[in-house]
Amino acid sequence: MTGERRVSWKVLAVGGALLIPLLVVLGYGFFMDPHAMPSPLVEKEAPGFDLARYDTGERIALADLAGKPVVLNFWATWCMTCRYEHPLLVQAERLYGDRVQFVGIAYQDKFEEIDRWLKKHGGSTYPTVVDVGGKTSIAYGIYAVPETFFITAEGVIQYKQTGAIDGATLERELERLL
Amino acid sequence: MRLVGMLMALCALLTATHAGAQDTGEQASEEQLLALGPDVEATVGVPALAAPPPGDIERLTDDIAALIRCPTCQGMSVAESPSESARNMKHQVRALVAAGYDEAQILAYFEASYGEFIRLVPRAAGFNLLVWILPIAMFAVGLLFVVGFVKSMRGAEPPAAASTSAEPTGAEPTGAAPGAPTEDEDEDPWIAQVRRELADG
Repeated sequence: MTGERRVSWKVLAVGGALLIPLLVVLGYGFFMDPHAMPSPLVEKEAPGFDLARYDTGERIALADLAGKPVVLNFWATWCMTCRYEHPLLVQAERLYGDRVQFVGIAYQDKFEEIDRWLKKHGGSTYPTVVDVGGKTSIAYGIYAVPETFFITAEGVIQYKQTGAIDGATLERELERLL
Repeated sequence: MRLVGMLMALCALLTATHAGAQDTGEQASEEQLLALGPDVEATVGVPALAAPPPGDIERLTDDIAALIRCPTCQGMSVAESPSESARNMKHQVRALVAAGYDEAQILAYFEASYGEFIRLVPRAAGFNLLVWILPIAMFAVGLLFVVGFVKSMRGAEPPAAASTSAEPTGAEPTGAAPGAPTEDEDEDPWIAQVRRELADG
């Protein structure tokens, strides 16, 4: 023998109107990768750059590489994950270097540090330029290093990798470039 | 005096450590700092304004840098952050301001590379409108709810005379004001039945 409680439709409607949108937003958040940083540059023309090599001072411009796909790797000597990624990129350059141009862009780094680091880590088979002042990194929307851009022969960004790249992703994107 | 000296030394040490930690990149030349950066015109067109007087550049730079999120910090603007990324971005803002780009163009330039996340204050349009509207709407609905609840509580209270004279006799209450809810209407049916059974003996 319990007393019947009257359902207040007003309360239900107000509660529902407040709760449902909140639940939808929270539910949407569950399916989002909190580490994903989608770049608005993907499928757009890659920003141009014209930077000097750390070793020879020779300038490398994206415009000069037109007609050949480019892998652009932003890295730094103070970046821990870059040391794991480096051998993979060197190996990939050995395999694909005749068809794809690899370029390293040192981010917030010093010439002598880059020289020391590369000597310590087995050297590099592709050129590294230095983004002094960070304007190129800003144009590419760099949050942190490493970040790698795959640019088609037409100069369009096909894919951006945030964080260290793995072998499978590297191979997949290189094959897509060709 | 000795304590002051120690504090000053500690401050100097902290400042030096901090400055050293922020300065990992090669020192940019004045020319590099003033360069506009790649593809500015292709992204946001020609400057909307004439170049501002030199005295205004720093103020305008600070105002706009305060609207840009430092990408390597937690909720800080480029104007506030001492990180090297933020300082580079502020240099870029300064170069754009000096060239005559206005606030909308500068924000659009950064947004083209980083996405909308780079705006410290989300644009009040589209889905973002929820950020502005929802808190106000929720406050208004909450206020209405509280007001309604308080009103209904007041309406449910029997007048003082009725509550003091009411006896559990099972008879109709006599002291209720006209239009006020009777005891039977308000009371739980189970309590009412207990009352009736007690009254019947």
